[in-house]
Amino acid sequence: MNKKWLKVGIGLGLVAIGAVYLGKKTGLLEDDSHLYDEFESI
Amino acid sequence: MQKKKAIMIGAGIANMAAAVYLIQEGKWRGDQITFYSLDDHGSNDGAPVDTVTDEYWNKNHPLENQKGYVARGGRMLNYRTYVDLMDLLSRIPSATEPGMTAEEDTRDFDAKHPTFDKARLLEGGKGIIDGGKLGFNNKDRVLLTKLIAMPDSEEEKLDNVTIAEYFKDDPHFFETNFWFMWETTFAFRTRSSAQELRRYMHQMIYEFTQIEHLVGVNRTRYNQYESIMLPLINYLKEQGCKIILNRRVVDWEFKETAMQDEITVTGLKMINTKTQEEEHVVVDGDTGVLFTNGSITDSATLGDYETPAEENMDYGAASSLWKKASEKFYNLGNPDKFFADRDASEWVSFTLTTKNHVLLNEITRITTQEPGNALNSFISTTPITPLGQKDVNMSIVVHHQPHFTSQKPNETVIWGYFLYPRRRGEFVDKEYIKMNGKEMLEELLGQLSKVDPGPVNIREKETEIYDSVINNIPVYMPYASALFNNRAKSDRPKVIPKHSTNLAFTGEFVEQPYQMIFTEQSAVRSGEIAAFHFAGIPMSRLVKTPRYDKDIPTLMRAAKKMFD
Repeated sequence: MNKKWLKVGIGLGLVAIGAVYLGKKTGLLEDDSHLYDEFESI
Repeated sequence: MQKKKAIMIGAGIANMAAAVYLIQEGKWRGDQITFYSLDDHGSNDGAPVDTVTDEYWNKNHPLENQKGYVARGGRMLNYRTYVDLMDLLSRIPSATEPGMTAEEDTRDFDAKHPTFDKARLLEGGKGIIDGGKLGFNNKDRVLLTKLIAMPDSEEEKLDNVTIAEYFKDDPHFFETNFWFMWETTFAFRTRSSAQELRRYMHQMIYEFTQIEHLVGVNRTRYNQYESIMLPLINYLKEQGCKIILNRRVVDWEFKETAMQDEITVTGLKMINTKTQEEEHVVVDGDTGVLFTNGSITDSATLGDYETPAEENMDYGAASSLWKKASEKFYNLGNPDKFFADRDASEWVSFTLTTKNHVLLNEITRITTQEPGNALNSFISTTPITPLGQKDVNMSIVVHHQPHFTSQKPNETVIWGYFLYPRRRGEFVDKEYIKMNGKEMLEELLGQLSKVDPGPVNIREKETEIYDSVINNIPVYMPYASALFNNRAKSDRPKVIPKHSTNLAFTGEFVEQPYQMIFTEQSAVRSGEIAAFHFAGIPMSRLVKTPRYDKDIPTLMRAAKKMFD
């Protein structure tokens, strides 16, 4: 039983790591909120 | 840097938008804003021919036929992406519909006339093509996915890469239905920037699933001048803005600093194009200068039914002034990238006016759709590109009628364009650029006859159609696609360049985060940014723009569509 949960845990962990990697690689997780900061009036 | 007055060089939609935001968000008075410009519409034109004879340009031949209408280009809107434009239109009254804002006017018209294109692509011998089949192979899918998946932070990898270069190992891409529709919907050419294609794929990714019907396209009630520019002009004049026309700003005066490390405009030299007199305007420390540094209709020339449009080799009014600034400062971009490569940017368009609806009804019969619903592109039946491939010969837009408020009920106005004007006609043996209005109509009738399902071919009504013509105005636009020209990210100045104390750049030739150009959206947003900067309004109050490229359901739908 414990082994089964371990496998599920590892599987979910790998999927999560994969999703984060893909998100970073493709810009899906890129923060664009600061992009207009350079145009602020001083 | 916060200012108290503004000088606008150019009176196109970008600077007019800036003025609206300065007044409404910055709480400025209209009289704090002065425009200097050759005209009050920029590229968003549309008018009876007899009112624009000064734009005809051909000094060697008079404009004989001054009847009918002309619009050098047209605009398809998109509410979901053009959020800044819709915000702008919601702030000003419609010029034609009493009691409505310009936004309500557009939404009202569009709701009553929703776009659903039934004949986006047509091909001789086949008739209407099913554009829903995008036609990709696996190589196309991989390259397109890589392009879409490239994050903003790596965009510079596509500096100076053309679309043709990006797909150099995959010429098949250029014979897909997807490319035929994408190139003619947005006016991309194979030599256009892959960087810009990426931005379009990001912002228009949801169009991917519906491009064959143009379902996401919204249209204004009338032409772009009367439905977009006129409301702006009326509002700004009412607010007390000074709009001084027939002025060509020809040179700058900048503050001299030891290292030329500060951009401060101190004066402008201009010519009154009516009197040819030179004028000088002092720019003081309280004044911001908003400069629209390029126009896709600069140096455009008109022809008429019997005369082709002559080629005007002028570099362009706005771009010439941009060049003078860029020669002085290192960070103001490279105008030559956009204005010294006509082969990559030129088009020819035409505006056909007829005195009855015979041609309109024939096009409706052949395309099976109502006027105002479509952009129809005719694919060649033989190879016509340097790669020996088929491509789109020409495209037409049959407007909802009337397209002009002064248009008579019996009249029809149709617009069309040739994306590659140096190609030879199929029915008139000369380059499109050398054709007069009558010959362009001949090409159109020839293309329609090839896709006509019959039983009575449109050719049977040819004489009747020619007899119905009031005018057909060809327009040569050397820089129509210049904003798509191959570029590096640093080739366009930022809206507020580094070290600038009072100069902002607006329009379609400026760099701003993730915005795609050739939309009213990016032009309006550039004006909004400049206005917020000079009025001291935080950028956090800019209209929020959607990022469909980060929306998982949209991406999933696009991925599925790639396999249709």
